[in-house]
This record gives sequence, C-alpha cells and structure tokens, in this order.
Amino acid sequence: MQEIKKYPLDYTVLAVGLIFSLGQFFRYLNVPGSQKTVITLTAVFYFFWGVLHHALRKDLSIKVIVEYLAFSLLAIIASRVILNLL
Amino acid sequence: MNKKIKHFLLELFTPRYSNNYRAKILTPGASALFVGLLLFTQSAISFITLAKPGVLGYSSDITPEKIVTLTNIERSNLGLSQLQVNSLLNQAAARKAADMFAFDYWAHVSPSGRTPWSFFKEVGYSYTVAGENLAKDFSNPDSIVQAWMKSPTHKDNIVDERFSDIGVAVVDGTLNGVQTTLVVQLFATPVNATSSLEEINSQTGRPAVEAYAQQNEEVQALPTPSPSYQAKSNEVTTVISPLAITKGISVIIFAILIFALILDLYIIRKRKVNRISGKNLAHAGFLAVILLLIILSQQGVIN
Repeated sequence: MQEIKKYPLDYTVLAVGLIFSLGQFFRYLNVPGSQKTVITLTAVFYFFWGVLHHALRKDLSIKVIVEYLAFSLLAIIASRVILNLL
Repeated sequence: MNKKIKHFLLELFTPRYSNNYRAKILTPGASALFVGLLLFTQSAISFITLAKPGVLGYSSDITPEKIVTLTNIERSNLGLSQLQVNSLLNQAAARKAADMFAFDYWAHVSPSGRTPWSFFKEVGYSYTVAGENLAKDFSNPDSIVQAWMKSPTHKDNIVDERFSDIGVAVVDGTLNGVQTTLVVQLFATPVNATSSLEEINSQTGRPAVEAYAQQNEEVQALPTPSPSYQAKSNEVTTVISPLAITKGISVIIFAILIFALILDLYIIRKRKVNRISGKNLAHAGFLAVILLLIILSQQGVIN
C-alpha cells in the first residue's frame, strides 16, 4: 500500500490497463483467437509499464527488465498452451 | 533430512542472504522452468492424443432440441419468425457431421471440395437460400448459441429472416485425435415455400445469396457412419479434458507465484531490506488478472 501511495499515477495506469483487459476478454469471449490476443496484449502492456515505471524512478536495470520480461512471457506462453487446445 | 527440506523451502520462498534477498521461485530462471513445465504438458497431451485417441476429449450436455430452442429464442427477441425443424435438414446435418469425422476435417468445405449444400441435395431438400453454422468442444448449448451470436457472420445466419427451416445434428466422435461433440446447424428455405426467390429478394433488398443450385454437382458416395459417429449415444464415457489439465497446472503455478510474491514483499518490508528488483505488488496484481483470465477461459470453437 505504501508503494501505491508513493506512485499513485503509475498504479492507477496499471489498474486501468488490467481492468480494460478484463473487459475486452469478456467482450470477445468465444471469438476465435481473441482470448489469446487479449492475454498477449495485457502481458505486453505490463512489460512496458514495468520498464517505464522503473525508468521514471531511475532504478531500471537489466535484472529488472529481465524480471518483467520473464513474468510477461510466462503469461503469454501459459495462455497459448491452454488456448491452443481449444 | 528435515533440515535440508526446510532449507530448500526457505531458499525457494523467502528472501535471505544466501539467495541475494530474492526468493528463488521469483527469479527469471524459475519462470523459465515453469514455461518448460507448461510446454512439456502440451507435448504430453499431443503425444497422448496420437498414441491413445479418445482418451482425451470434451464431454457435453448438448442436444439438437436445446440448440433449436435457444436459436428460436434469439429470433423471438428480435421479432423474427420461429424456425421449423425439418427432418431432411436434420438428416443433412447428421451426414455433414459424419463426413467431418470420417475425413477428419473441421471446415464448411471438405478437403475434397464438398460443400455443405451437397448434403442438402443428398437428402432431397431443394432450397432457395441456405446457411451453415458449426461448433465443437463446447460443454453446454447456451455457450454455443452465445458464441454464434457474438460472431457477425454466424449471427447473420441465425437472424436471417429469409430462412424458414432448421436442422441440427449433435454428434460425438474423434476429430484430430481428440474426442469431441460436433454441432452442425443448417438453415434453409425450401423451393416450394410461399415466397419465391424473387419475392424474397424484393422484400429484403438482398441479392440472391448461396444460389448453390448446382444441379450438375456430382454427389460423392457418403461413407457409412460407424457407431462412433452416432448422435449422442446412451453410453457414458469418461474422458479427460485437455483444457482441464493445462488449466489446472497453470492455476497452480500462478497461485504459487502470487503467494510467493506477497510473502516476499512482507518479509522484505519487515526486515527493511533495500534491494533492486521488480515491484512485487505490481507482479502480484498482473498475475492475479492472468490467473482470472485463465480460469475464465472457455472451451469451444465455432466455424
């Protein structure tokens, strides 16, 4: 919570982005390929959010970039493994 | 032994001096291992579908009657007339489903070029206009009709005021190595309907669509449907859903990661450790949303 109070704008942008993704997911449910697309775009948004957030706070490093990339890729690959079976 | 296990778990889940104050499970290396696990699961499922077809699949409680009822409800909601079930169209739909299983394809036109309209001709149904919707891997009829209604081209068939008749087949079988429930929905208006094609076109202002009165189309020999292609047998076969397997593994992975992130954050705050890393709260929020999307992802494909 301290983190959110410290950077309210950053976390507001993140929350809006994630809620928007949820909305788009439900909107295009059962449209072929849409579920994978929404999750992929959410992951890409999150990666760039993380990089920008740390860059603005001047604590961006290769280690941090790789960490956000790892979590984003995990989400993308999980969605493709699950939804490729549909 | 207990000490070793305890040390291993502490290294995995808690930030300490020995792991550079970052729980091992939260490192990119661990994420790579999880990715490997998911890919291995997918490979295993592919192998099982090849080695033991029919073990994996999707079960359902879909019936032709429910599909027709739900379709007519959608038409009623738009003030359109009810579609009448036509036994010839039912037969044509069943033949189309049998053809798809026999030749193992998922498309409106078969690999040999056979159109959906050839099945109309086989059963002796002469039409002025016709349409086809397909669905597979769904578990309930509501999801199918909702999926069709969300797709513009499929919705066009359902709400087309030119159609008067409907035929539906719901058939269990194995497609591409996976046991599934195939739904074929056919729409049409017979040639001897009250309105001629010209009258229909003048009323709707739409061009003569699907004038597939291909009188010269050769009718190919229909494969004799084997028992496995019979519509909704009374036997209850237990199949394991591939979706359930991958979903289950993904849910476990994401739940563990979210737990580890929150625990890591709590310990770091408590010990007032300064370190350079990603934001645990942001990671946890992102993974929680992805977890929710994974749980809510639905099976079922339309065509």
